[in-house]
Amino acid sequence: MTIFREVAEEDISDVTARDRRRHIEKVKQSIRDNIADIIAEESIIGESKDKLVKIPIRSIKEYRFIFGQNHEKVAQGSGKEQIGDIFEQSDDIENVGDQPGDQPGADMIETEITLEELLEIMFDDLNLPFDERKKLKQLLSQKGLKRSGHRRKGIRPRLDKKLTAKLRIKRRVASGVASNDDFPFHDRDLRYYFVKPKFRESVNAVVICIMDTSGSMSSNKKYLARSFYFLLYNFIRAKYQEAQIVFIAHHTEAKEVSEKEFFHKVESGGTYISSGYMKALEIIQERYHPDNWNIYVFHCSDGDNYYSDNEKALSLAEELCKSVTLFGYGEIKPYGAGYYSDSMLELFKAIKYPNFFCALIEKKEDLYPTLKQFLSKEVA
Amino acid sequence: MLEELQIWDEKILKVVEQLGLEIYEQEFLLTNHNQMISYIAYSGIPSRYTHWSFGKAYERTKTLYKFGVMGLPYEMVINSDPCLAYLMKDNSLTLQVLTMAHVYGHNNFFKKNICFVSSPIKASNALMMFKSHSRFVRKLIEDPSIGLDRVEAILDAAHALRFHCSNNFLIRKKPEEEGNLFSLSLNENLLSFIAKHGRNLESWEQVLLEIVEKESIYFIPQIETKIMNEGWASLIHYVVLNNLNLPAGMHFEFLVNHSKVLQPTFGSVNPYHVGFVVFTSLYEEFSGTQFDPSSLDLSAFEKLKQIVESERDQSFLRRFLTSEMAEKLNLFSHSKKGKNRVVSNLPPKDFEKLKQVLVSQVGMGSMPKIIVRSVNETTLNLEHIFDGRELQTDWSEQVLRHIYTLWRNPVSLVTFLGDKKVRIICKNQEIKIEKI
Repeated sequence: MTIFREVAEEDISDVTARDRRRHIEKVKQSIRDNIADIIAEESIIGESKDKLVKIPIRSIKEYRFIFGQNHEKVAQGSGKEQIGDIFEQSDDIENVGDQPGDQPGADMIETEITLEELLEIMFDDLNLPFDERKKLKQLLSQKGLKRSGHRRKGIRPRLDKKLTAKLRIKRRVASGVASNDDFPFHDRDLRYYFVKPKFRESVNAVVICIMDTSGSMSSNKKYLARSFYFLLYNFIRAKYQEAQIVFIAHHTEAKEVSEKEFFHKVESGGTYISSGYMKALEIIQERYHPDNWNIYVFHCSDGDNYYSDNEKALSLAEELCKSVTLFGYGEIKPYGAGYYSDSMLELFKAIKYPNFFCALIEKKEDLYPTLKQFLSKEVA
Repeated sequence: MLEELQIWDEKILKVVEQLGLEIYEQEFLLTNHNQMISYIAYSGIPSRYTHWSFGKAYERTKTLYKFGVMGLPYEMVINSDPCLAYLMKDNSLTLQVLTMAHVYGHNNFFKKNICFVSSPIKASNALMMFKSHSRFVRKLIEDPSIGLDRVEAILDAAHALRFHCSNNFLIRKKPEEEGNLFSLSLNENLLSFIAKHGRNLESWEQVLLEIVEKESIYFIPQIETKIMNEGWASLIHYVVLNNLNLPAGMHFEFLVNHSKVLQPTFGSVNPYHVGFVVFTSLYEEFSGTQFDPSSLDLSAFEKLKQIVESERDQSFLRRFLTSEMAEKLNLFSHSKKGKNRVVSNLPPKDFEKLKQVLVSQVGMGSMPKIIVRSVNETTLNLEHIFDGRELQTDWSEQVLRHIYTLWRNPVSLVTFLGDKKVRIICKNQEIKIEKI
């Protein structure tokens, strides 16, 4: 006797969920492993967050011994084929069914993720090194909502069903109606939760971005510097919503600029690196006392400083190191930009503070490792 | 819906009985399309051991379905006793009836064909086997001294070799030959060779390899008989539905769906179409009359049943495919010329050449033959039995890495690249290619 049976929804969804989750994990891992390449390949800098990035995933292939594409094969045609006709091969059609596909190309999965997701994966294991000694927490950040009392008016999802039911019983008892009689709810019974925003104190953090916008910063160098800050900026915004960010642009003079100006403004002129540091110190003095704040300073320049300024820059850099949690200097020297030009890297070797880090950025591929290097440091 | 299906099922079974088709007891499960995607990912057996590749198969099927690249099959049937088949709830009644008749064709094939009959994994035990494998794997994953990552590494590697297991169950080896390392050379059963002779495998790792091997052995008959199996099921549904006295509307819908199933896919080979054409042409030859599904010559049909019992795709095509059939199927072969692929052989002129190529690419012929040549000290020497078809080198390199994961000592593979004999060596996960 043949049996007919309907499959319940839960019979199978549970089973597949685990393997699907593991597969997604593998996909993400694969993206993580190739992230430096992806960042370098994709011109993602300055793109909108909804942009889809296509990433071919290699590690997710299931390798087997398979034949290549060079041998003769039989296929079905239209019947009009003649010997020697060019037959366009369709490699992209997946083999479906029991038979495993024998086309290597067919096993390639291209996943599409948004830039935002990509950045999230990138920043997953990066953190600003906090100095926990700075106990004072001033910044309030909103962390959702919390319930606080009841109101007679409200939206349906916030209806307090238990209290409403209680009030109906109260009213019934008060009006002397027996419990098994029909006694409907009344508008007066309804009670809604009232909610207030919930605040949490978080660690005080300020990130100071200093960029050299002098004439020697060619468009290529500026692109690299801005890309670096783009990553840094997105990292901070993604992970530390409450952190403050200060932008400083300098040539021979430094000034605090808005985010928009920082990323888009073109300037020219000579270079006094010291001016940028001086400005940073001023801002720290005025607004962010080192006892209360974790301060992170990042500076990108081509290192082509005006000679007479070097000594001053060095001493101010040391000054900065004394008061900040982390000071990172990235020197932008694209290939072919002339190695004979001056470098601050040599000069900064003299700085012995453990919270000072330098890195050389020569190409797009260096951006992510440099950021990683800056942000994975432990503060002693 | 269920009652209606039951009524039709009784009618179908009557025809099946008249045709003298032996079948396992049948069980139909009704699913929605989401469930169908899941069943496809697990080849119809959701109780299989957990592995991410099923998740990948799920995502791929779902994506292809979502973007309309492919539809879902109307049915999915499992070689088990009782025979399990899934039907899609959303399908029209006609399509359900057609699908059920088609399933009975597969059911009969599973029960009678030599590849399935001679398989060491019996249909009645199949589902139990998958369940017990699944339990074993879960235990390993939950074992704190082993865990998911180690289990996965072994499974990933074993999957790379999954079709290099014993696939011809009719050849029996003498027991004394099996134990001996030297007589095992020329062995194409890589998985069990490594399980038996790998020096550093822990016992749970050996068991995992055996599990992968057993599951592959279960699926190999289906790979070996794709064309026959689908051709036979199509023939059965065609005959059955022509004998059900369908109302005119249903009959028309059935014909439309039948021709959709048999529609040739340009540029590849539709197993339903090829199998159906070979079987019906043979029937016409045996009976000496036109193939008429509503008045079947049962003695000619009996001969088809014998063929179903004794052949696999390769022997089936080699013995029975004729030049006329090849022309009817619009078969042609194409080979590489410069950057393009051009039509190289057409029936009737080059039929024998074309048939040879077709036979070599169906069943297990679609997979390269790799044997163990020898073991030198610790190096595992493999050889690709070259039949004119080159291996995809970058994939082979990755497979060698997987083998290294299992063998834990150097592995080499001899094969041909272009006209040159080469040896690919994997040592400490590093790949080296040298000319011989």
